[in-house]
Amino acid sequence: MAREALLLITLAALGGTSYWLSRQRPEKLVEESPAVVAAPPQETAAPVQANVDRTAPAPAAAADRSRELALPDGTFVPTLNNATDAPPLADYWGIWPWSPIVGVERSDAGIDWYRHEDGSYSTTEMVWRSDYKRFMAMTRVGHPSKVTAPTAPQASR
Amino acid sequence: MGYPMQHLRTFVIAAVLAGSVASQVNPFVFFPQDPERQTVTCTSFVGRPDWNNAAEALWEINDQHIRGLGGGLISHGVRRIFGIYHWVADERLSTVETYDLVIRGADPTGTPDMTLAGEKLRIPGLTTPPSTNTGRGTWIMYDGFGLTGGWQENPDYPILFVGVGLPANPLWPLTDGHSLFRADMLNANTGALVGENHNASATPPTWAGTTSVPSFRTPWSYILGPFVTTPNLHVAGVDLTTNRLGAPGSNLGMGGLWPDVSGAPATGPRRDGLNLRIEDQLAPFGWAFFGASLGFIPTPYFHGSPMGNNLIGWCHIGTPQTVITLGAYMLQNGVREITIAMPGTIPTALVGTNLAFQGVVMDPNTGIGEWTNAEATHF
Repeated sequence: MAREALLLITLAALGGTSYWLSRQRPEKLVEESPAVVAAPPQETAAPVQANVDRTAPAPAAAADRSRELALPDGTFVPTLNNATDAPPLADYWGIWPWSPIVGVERSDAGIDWYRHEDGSYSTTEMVWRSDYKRFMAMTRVGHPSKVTAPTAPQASR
Repeated sequence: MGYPMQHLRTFVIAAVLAGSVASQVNPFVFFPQDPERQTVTCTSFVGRPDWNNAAEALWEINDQHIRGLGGGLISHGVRRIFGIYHWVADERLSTVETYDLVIRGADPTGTPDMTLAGEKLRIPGLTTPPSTNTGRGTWIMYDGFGLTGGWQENPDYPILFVGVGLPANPLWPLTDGHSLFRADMLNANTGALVGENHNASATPPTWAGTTSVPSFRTPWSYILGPFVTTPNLHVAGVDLTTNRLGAPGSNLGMGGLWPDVSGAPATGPRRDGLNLRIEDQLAPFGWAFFGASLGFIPTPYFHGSPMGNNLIGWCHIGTPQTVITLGAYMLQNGVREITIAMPGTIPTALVGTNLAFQGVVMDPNTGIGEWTNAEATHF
């Protein structure tokens, strides 16, 4: 109990001091390292021409959008890989600046991906969900990181 | 499956921010640095859970350490996960890598339940994007289920494992293969110069989930985690005696969960400081309220104060009479980190004591607030 009492007093004092300090000077942002940004695309192959049916944002009583993917800029493009009811791209774009779609590419795995101007890729896919007992759409994004990956350790662990 | 209140928060925010990139989920990553907002300098190595054998890289969500992550609208115990985030280190970008998303329960001993019954969700055969680059590179993968496709559990499991399953790849690490960014523990014995930083009581936070041999703990954290709609709270350790982060800053992973305040000469001596950090992309300029208590309360508490009925979630740190309020601050671009204790100020007498922290983020545009996850710190 003595330890807990000491802890309570310490915490209260620290919290009070922190609050007092915050009132004594303008709130200062924690210094963050520069945000991770996309590296320029490194691929050398000519980009595949987009065949993307861009449409304007839908009015309130919209037509069936189940086979369209909502983009963060308010427009829609067809879903890929026969997906229906795909989650909006904004939900999984992260905190990266929006980058327009510039093409569609098919990977060696047979999956179609939208290629974005900054080198990012996005797609939609139907996957079996055992919890819902039906196929459901996923929306997937891959951003290229400029962070150089360290190597694997020497020992095999 | 409808969750009108939780969706209200996301839908209103979407309307307010229409036209901009407004994410409606947060990746919760237990790693020394925030991979979404900071330059990652603390990665020890890229690694796989069991070298180049098939295995699942699993992060353990244990309610001894973290509670309320991704949950708590209708009743305590409902946890919802809306996808999985991880960084793919690819030794050869031009060959597509294949992986599974996995959510697992624990067996009675607390290890990953590798049986079919223990497999709460498995989405096999996802692949990385196409590339003509034959060199090494990194994909930051956002694999999303959507707000109407969230995986949910009710009641919650005391231990849950979230991760990715990797197939065997004899080419890794020499010429090809998928691995993850990892931060090694101090006692990992891998020669890592940067990585996790913690006290002597820390337990490894990740596992290699395998069926060929018994699953085993792996002494590192990964850039890997679930997408949730709850705001993130991290307890962060501040150790000025080391360069384990590779850059100045606080350790958002094991350094916060297990800070070293022992003052023992063998470790520095260390008397770490403590920060709290809230991240939320649903209300990136919302108000963040921080609170603390002497550990988690046995039964989470639902209360409306201070935001009336517009408060989503459950409090794991006490009643309004027992929570220690640590202040209110405004998020800036989805993040706020505050100092709770400077290095050298936490008494060494507190070694062995546990605290718990939790917060609320209130969106001033909508008037809706939501509890963050709660996280313990074990001195």
